[in-house]
Amino acid sequence: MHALRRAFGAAALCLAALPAALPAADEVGKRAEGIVTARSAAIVTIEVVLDYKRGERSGEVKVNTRGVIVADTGLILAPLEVLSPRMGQGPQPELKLQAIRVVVESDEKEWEAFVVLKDTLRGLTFLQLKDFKPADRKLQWVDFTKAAKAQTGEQLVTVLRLAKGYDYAPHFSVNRIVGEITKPRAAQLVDAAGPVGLPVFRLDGQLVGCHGVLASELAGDSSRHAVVFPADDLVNPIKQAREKAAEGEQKTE
Amino acid sequence: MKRITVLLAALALASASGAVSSQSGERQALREALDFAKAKIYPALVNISVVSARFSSGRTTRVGGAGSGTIISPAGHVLTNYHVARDATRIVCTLTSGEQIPADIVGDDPATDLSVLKLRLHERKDPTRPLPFAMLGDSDRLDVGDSVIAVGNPLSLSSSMTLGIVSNPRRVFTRGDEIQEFDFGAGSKTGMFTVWIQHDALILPGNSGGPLVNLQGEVVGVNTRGGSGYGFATPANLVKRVVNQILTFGEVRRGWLGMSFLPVAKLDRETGALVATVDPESPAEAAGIRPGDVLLALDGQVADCRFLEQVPVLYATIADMPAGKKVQAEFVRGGERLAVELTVAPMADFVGTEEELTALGITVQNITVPMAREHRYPDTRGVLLTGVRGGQVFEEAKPPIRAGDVILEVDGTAIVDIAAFAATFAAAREQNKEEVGVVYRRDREILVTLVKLDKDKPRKPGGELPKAWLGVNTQVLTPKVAQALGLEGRRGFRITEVYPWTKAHAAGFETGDLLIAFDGEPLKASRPQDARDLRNLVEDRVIGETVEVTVLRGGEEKKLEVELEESPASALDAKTAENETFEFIVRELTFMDRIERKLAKDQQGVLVTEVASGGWASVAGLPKNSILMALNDQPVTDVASFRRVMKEVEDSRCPVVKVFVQRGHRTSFVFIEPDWTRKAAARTEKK
Repeated sequence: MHALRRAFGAAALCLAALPAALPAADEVGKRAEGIVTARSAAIVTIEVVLDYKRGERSGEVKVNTRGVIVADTGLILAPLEVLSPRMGQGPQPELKLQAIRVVVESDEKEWEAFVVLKDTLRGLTFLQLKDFKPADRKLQWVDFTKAAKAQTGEQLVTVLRLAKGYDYAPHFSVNRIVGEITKPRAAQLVDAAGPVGLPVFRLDGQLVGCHGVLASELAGDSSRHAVVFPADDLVNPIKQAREKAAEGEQKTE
Repeated sequence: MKRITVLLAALALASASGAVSSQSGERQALREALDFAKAKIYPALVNISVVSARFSSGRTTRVGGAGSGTIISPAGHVLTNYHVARDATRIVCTLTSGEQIPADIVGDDPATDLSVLKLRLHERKDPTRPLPFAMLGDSDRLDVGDSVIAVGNPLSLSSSMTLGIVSNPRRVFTRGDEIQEFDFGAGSKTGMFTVWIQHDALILPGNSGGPLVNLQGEVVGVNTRGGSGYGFATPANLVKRVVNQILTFGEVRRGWLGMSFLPVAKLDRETGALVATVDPESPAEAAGIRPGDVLLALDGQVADCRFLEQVPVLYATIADMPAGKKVQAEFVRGGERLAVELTVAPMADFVGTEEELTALGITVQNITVPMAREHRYPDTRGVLLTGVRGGQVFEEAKPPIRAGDVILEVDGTAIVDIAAFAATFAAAREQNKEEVGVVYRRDREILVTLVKLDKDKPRKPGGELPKAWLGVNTQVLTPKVAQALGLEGRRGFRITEVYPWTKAHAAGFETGDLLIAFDGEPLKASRPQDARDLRNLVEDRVIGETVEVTVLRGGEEKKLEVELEESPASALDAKTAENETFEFIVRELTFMDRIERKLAKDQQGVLVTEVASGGWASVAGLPKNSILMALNDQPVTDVASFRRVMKEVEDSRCPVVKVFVQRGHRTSFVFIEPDWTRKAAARTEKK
């Protein structure tokens, strides 16, 4: 009987603790919602058109992804994989880039874009809106020079967008930093893979870095882990890409 | 008793010796007959080497092939199979003497699978030298058991002869109760007029077009099909008719009434031919002939088709009638004897002309009456889309248009044939239109799509983000490696390679140096997972920055100053050039190409990165991954000079393009022999 009373007591404690935890969850949602409102205009939808050729078979493939505007000049950070997606098992086809189309927010206009630089080390690429003039459309962008550090255990918010069929609806996901790694290079480990290239924010809205994947470089170890690259690491590449983009598109000859 | 036994043994021996003598005589006679036939046919035998154009996936590809043939006139006419010479862009005939003479097609006849070529005798070293030729014999005189010789180049094994007998001089292939026709390529049909000579002289691929010869050395057939130990030859008497027409008209003209026939044996009739099909809009239909009628006589000749073997003869009789001729047909319908007059029409080609329209990335074909009938099209309007090349304008049409669709209208203009189709696109281009509407038929539906007139060139995939680079390769100085080097307790990196022509090389780094500090910061690498530490340190610096690296060399510490340079450009960043005429791609040589291929710093040339299968470069054997160094003795130093020299080559339209290449440590030459006339015929090319 005493034991039963003790169990009841424990359950009552648990129930009493629950209302305290629930507002905390609401708080994360509320803050994330605020970040979506503040940052989602910088998240763009990208369609990449590639011609493929495998032996005598050829055709066209379209790949959709998301990117983030990182300069008011129309420079976009996106996952490199979108330019060379893996197509089925076995030998991969030869791919030729035909077009990149970008939709900012849910605008009617589709911007043509070109590849400025590729960062194979981090699996990222920089795209530039073609013929974009800042006067044409004010762009919201994420400034990687203004960033903060996140602690292990801290929750991070990622702002995403759905595809055209859902009218590019913005939404968010929440991850948590679960560790720090230094090899093969410095990054923070996250609990689940996020969309490569998209920025991650602390709950206070401060930028931390961008999603990425790190692969082991040791022979016999093919493991890959989802990470966040610190924003500092990207400051110089963004600067280089911005300068390169100013030179205009390099056409194939 | 003993005496009798000896006598019997002697008799037996005498008899055996007689048999041996008789066999030996037969063998000798056969040997002499073969020698006689060989002497007649061998000089006239040719090995035919062809490069043929084929249409595949919206483009023209070239394939090399080989077959056999026979010179049949002192003027240099060569008889071979249509499937050997079909769509040839280059033909070279090699005589048994080894003399090689280029040849052109005079005319061909898919229905009998025959082609007549003409040797370019004026290109012989001695054009006045008499040309050997063979005589065509009388194939109607062949009987079962007659000895025949197949001569040709089986499996490209030149001048081979096999001996056999005629198994059946009147072989007809059947499907059910009908004559079976064969598609030897390009959708054309062979066999309607052919009563084959079946024989057992071994023939293999490469014998095609070669002669079947009797022991008098006369050509009694053209070997066309083989398999399971049997050969099938087109009889010389049919060949003669076809050759005469080709030499007279440049084509085979045949009469057509629009009927197909079955034998009447099953109707319990001695003569006649059962009308199985009456084609719509044919002379037979116009005359009121119906399926089920039994044709008794045509143009005064009895229609004698009791057996299937006799049906091709009736077809040949009709085919021999000139177009426009009026002929009487007598037939029976339901026991009633009727007579009608028919006007012979010309037999249409079965397969329409097919062409590649390179600027549109498609192949199209004119639609003939027989094609329309076979595919059950309502009429012959439009052009048939036979192939769509990936990544070209038609492939990007929205909604998609695909092979098998019939294009009826372009930009509001009705399309009647390829010429009209090409002209409509050319006109739209001249009007600077960006896209045109295309109306097409797919099965029962009539659809509309939009096709852009120009395709954007592929976009540059973007260069690699430049990073600071120290031009060395290293390995981690693990405790065991350190111990082996007598450097126990040391950490850092060991240089395994110093790239030539780099700032590191100029700064004095050497293979075997131990890197122990970077700009004063000790290098502590000792485990495999530390391998990237030095690269991370370098990449965090700015290109052009000078750093101090402490090295341990021969037990002594040295401080080397080196300027960090930009990481070498990858192959993806290299300039490329595509040649659409010969269909191959080259790119400039990168720093890493020179390192990996152990090339000199000043090695000139461009790297061949892609050779399209079926293109001229591919046919000539231009190797992928070779370094192209000269074209027609003009040096190619880089992509820009490649473009310039290639343009000169294309402008000159030289028949042979000499390409100097290096592959591995060996240099070699490749000779590309394009067909410039086809390029000139690309009618929708951009101006």
